[in-house]
Amino acid sequence: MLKFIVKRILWALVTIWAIISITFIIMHSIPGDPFAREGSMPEAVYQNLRSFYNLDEPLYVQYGLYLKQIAQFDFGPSLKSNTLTVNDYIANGFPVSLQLGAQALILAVCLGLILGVIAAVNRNKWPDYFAMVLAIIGISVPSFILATFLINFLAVEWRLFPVATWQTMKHTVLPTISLAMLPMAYIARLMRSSMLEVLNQDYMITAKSKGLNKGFILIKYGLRNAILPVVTVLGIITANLVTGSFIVEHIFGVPGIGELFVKGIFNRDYPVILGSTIFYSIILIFLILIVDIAYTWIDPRIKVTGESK
Amino acid sequence: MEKLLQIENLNVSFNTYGGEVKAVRGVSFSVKKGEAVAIVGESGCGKSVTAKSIMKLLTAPPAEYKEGKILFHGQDLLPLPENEMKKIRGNKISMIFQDPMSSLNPTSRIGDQLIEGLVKHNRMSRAIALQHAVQLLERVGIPHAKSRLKHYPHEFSGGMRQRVMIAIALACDPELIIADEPTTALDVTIQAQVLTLMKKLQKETNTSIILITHDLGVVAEVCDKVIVMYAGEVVESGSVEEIFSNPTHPYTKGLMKSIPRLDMDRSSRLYSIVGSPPDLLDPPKGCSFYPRCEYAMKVCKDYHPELELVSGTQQSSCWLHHPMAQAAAAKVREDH
Repeated sequence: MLKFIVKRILWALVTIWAIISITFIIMHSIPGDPFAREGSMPEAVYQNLRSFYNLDEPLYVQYGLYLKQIAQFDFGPSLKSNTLTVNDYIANGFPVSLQLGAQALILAVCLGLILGVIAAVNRNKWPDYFAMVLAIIGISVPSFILATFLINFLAVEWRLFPVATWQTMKHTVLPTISLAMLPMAYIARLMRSSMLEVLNQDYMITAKSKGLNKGFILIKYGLRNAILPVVTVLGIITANLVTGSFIVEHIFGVPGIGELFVKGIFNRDYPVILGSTIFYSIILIFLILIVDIAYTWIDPRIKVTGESK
Repeated sequence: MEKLLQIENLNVSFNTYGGEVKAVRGVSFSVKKGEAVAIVGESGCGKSVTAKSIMKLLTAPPAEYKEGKILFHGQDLLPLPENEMKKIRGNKISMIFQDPMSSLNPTSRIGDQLIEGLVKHNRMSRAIALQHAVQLLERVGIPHAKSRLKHYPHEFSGGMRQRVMIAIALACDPELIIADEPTTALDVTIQAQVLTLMKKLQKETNTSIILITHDLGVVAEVCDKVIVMYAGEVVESGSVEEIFSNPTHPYTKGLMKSIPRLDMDRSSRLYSIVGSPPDLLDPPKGCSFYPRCEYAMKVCKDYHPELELVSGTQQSSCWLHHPMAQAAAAKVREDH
């Protein structure tokens, strides 16, 4: 197990290096630079700024400098802010996005699993149709429309929750729901199809032939065997949720890191783009590792080994 | 001997999009205490459906128990509510399934799967049940039983898994074990081991067994009584001696002839019954075996033969036994 984890971490470093390089190349091949749009800037100031941030060096030198910086866990300064570094942005925004994402994740997983199981057990009956209609709404209605609806009804009309901003737990409810709908719908559909498959397995009849209770059979024989595909996507879903959503955070005025990447691209803020990409990659790689480890205790047939293949 | 299980005129259908598939049609038979009864017949003849009906394991709908009685100790199981059925399943009646590779829960330890029934039915604590489980595994001949309890099904071979299934079936000392093709999915050498084991355990515990199989060799080995099913009906029944020494129904004869023999001429082709079973969406009005029968007569097409006593305990449903079919029957005797 330890050997497996060490090996995976080494591979993760290689992956992250590849991601840095590719992002670096793509980013610099987009025409323009961070200061090009501010046209009224005198030529001398412009040149000064460029040389201050090493933008006048050849690309391979910039690349080398950047790698050196990253190795010290320093994502560099933001080119658009005089005082804040990329590390500051992440340190300020990530806890908020993490909380919002975690809440949404819990909601999505719990509701998604319950809906999926109910739908599978009552296949082609009204609970199934109800759950699947809910899932289709969750998948097809974009979060900005859902968020607007929630704000309009729950906040403006009925005054149950505040409209926006990030202060008390009550403020987190609406953005959590908006964020959770899509993954919930996805998990519900996945769980339904996986559960339907498991319900037809021979061991379900064995369980019934032992005279066990239906609820017990459903959890011990059904859920445990059916949950694997859900766990597979859970890594990616979690990474998406905890790294913030640009749309939801923007609509509800949540000070998370969802905006960081999008604003970074708009501003050609090279360190911000690279920093948020790497940050996202690290989280994703870490979560996928967790998922792989989780497999082994959910399904004993899957074994992790340090050996290759 | 006391009749442990008596099935009377059982009719089971499946409601499909295509219509009502009459899978079991008017099946009656009984199982005495300590008796081993075989149900034989080709695939799709209603053997498994009959077996699963006894414990009401079929998912309803689409399955529907149309009519009949399943009397266990004189009590009809069919109208029994699910809660009462749960007390019988795994406790009084248990079942061994065909494919040991898929009938054990892959994500649960063997020990847990063994004790579930004990904990539920006998209200044993986990610790005591686990001790009991060790004995069960030893009884079915699994070495290092104690350490094996912690293993998962995939760590066992096919034969070993079927032994585990047998141990699970035996756990609560049931009065009746239904074995649905318990050796079909196993290697030939393992088949013999598993059968010998089942036979030995049956003698020890005096449990009744219903053995469902399409392997007549297995029947001769283990059973006292044989029920031959075709297209959802019982076409012949009797003791093993009767059926093997003097099969009277043309279908049973065909089955016997289809058994490969060591003394057979290698160049000759193995006998097989031509054609396939009728569509049970619309079963034939007359004898269901009529289209495939070598000795079919005019009467067979339109009139359904009833199950009648032929000799001893042997019953058969065929028009050849009718007094008016003497000539045809004589020709059948000549052929054999």
